[in-house]
Amino acid sequence: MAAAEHDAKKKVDQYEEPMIVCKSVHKWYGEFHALKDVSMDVAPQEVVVIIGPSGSGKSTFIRCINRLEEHQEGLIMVDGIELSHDVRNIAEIRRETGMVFQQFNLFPHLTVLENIVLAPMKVRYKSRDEAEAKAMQLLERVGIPEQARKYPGQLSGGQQQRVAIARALAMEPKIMLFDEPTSALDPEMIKEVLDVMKELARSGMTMIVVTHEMGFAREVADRVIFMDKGRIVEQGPTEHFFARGVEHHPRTQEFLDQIL
Amino acid sequence: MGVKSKHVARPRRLGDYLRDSRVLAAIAQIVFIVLLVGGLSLLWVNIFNSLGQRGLSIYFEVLLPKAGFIIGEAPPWYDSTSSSFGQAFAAGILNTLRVVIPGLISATVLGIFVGIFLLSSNWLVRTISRVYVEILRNTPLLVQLYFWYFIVFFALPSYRDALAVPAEGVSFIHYRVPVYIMLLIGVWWYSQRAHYPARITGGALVAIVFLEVVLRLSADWRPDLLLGLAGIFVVGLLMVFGKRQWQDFAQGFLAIVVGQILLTGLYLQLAYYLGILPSGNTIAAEVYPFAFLSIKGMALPEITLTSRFGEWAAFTAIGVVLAGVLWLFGGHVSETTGRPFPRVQYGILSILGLALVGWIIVTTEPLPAVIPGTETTEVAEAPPASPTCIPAVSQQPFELILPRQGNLNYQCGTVISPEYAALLVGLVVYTSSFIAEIVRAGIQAVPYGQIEASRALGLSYPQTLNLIILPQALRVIIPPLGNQWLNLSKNSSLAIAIAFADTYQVGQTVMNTSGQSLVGFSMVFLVYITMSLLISFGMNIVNSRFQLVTR
Repeated sequence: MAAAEHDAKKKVDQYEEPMIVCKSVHKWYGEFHALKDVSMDVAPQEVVVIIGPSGSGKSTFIRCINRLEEHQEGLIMVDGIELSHDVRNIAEIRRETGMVFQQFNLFPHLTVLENIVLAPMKVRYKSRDEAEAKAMQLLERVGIPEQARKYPGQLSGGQQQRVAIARALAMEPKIMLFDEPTSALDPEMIKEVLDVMKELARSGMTMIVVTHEMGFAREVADRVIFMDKGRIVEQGPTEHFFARGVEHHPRTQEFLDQIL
Repeated sequence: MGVKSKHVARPRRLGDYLRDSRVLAAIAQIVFIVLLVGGLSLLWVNIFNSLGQRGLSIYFEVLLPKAGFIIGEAPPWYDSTSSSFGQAFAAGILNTLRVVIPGLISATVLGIFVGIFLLSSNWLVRTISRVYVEILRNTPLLVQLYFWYFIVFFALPSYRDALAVPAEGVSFIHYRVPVYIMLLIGVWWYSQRAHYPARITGGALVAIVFLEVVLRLSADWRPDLLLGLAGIFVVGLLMVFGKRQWQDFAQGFLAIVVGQILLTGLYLQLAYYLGILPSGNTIAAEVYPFAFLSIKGMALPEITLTSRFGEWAAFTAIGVVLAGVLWLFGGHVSETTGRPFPRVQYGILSILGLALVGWIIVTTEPLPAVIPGTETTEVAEAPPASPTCIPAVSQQPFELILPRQGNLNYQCGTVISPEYAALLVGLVVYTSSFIAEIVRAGIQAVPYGQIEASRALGLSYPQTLNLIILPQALRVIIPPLGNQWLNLSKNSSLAIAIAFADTYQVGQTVMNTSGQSLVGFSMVFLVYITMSLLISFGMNIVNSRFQLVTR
């Protein structure tokens, strides 16, 4: 039922402006050409999973979207704002996008609650009461309200990553970027993080996820993108991408054979 | 398994107790205490006997007799004929503190800056600070102190040819200069709200160069006015039709050119009206030397408080209290409503504002009316005037007393001796190189992911620095910084090498004069231990506030 509703919503959204537009994005690290002519759009409420071997540029690409890395050529637009050198645009885009990192990157000198309320108070100018109420609500959502007064160092990896998701959500972003969110976790903890992400996807968040979790991709993604050597080799709707007997690009097939 | 049952089954015998780790530990402790107490009492008896034979005392009453020696840079209450050894020590301790306290502060500030420069992305800045650190870190402090003393502060000119900074004379300032300064401040203020502040300020700076070149080329006002107008026209065109960056540039340019023409015109009109138009286009100002440098030391200005200081200080204190109230109120406002409250700016503004109001009120008060009778008697009784530094009557809350060069010695102001300067500079520079490395390491110890996470959340760079990087870097910086503070305070005893009268140097003199070496050394030890423990104590308190909680 929920899934049908979800699909219906998506069909309407196809006619809206894309949330993220990337056109011919190039990036170099010195001589190394890290991103080559990457073009793609992401519709509102769409969930895109990027897969690919390590060093294929998938992390670099999503880090370009909120300017943690600078692209040298091409156009990136997020929610109608062009990612230029203008610091105001950069700040605006960062306010609209939440990011979750492989290494969690929680602030170890602040409690869980302080981690979550910091940006809403300092960037969105919310009062402490309001920010804390919202933070507790988010901690409920990710299932660890009882950890609010602890420090990150006192939590397990899975709990830390869920706090990191809550911290990003506290800014009420329109887009969430996930950079290999489960790669640093024990197998037991991966599920608890993926469950939170699935719930988030069903709630209609626009998401780009770099991951190796094929089960997650199959279940949640609307579209799968395969990258190799800085290029988008292949992309397609999830059902099509993972369907039996589909003719894949040879490189994609090689990767899928190894991973599945 | 078998081993276990064999030992547990039978009753415990003496041998079992002697193999018990708890019993062994207790025995070891008892042996240690016996040895320690025995050793110490032996040492004590020995010292007591031998000192007794040589007529040395272990009691501090030996510090009571008169010292009878001169101490360089002693406080006024120390008198070589009547003061005791104890007072001589006190003078030495004061001199040590005079070096250590400013030394700690300046070494820390300098070290923080150099440490940040070590991480600069600018090659030149980074390399220069790296060379600075490596040279200072890898040479002995004693050598550096000699260097500062003999090569730098003793290479200054003789007293007769003392270097005056700035040289006495008359300085001419074109009346455009203050206008430029005002306009630049205005432009900078405005540009902070713009997307690219650098373009606007860049336009302003180019405009100053443009105007100055034009004005130098033209002798009088008229032609350059035309040229200026032409410049405005060109830049105006750029602004209307040009690209975005040129429009920003033109804003800064126009602000300076138009502002200069308008304000100068206004100024000239006003000057005509008031009849104070200066001859020529300059404001002349007499310049007195601010400082003298010679082998006799550095003479610097001194601030003397007058009888009106209390009144002014009261105003300033109200400003400080107001700033404190604003600080608390601002914190409350931003916590409850989330509205940002610039409490630092408001605080500074309230302190400066009330200080200024106080200054105006105090300086405009009339001078006390002099009663004729008292005045004459006072003058009659006063001894023939030695050069007085402080003006007899002053309307200001405090006076800045500039140094003057007398026949044999500096008059007025305060004089810093070459010994003091060499010791302070040597200690500060040497210690700052170690502090710089500590600061660099502390900042680098914060994982880059922390900065990325902060930026991804939308926090600005200054916010990231204040809220994320610094609290974590300080945790790494503070313990080794405390060690460097201890080093600086203890290294100050190298003063003896360049004959600065610090605690140890005075202690040596006391020991040589009185022969009481045990008490002398005890005093010196006590002073340094107290100082070190105070520093450690303070550092421990600070340190405990920055520790991370993990499990």
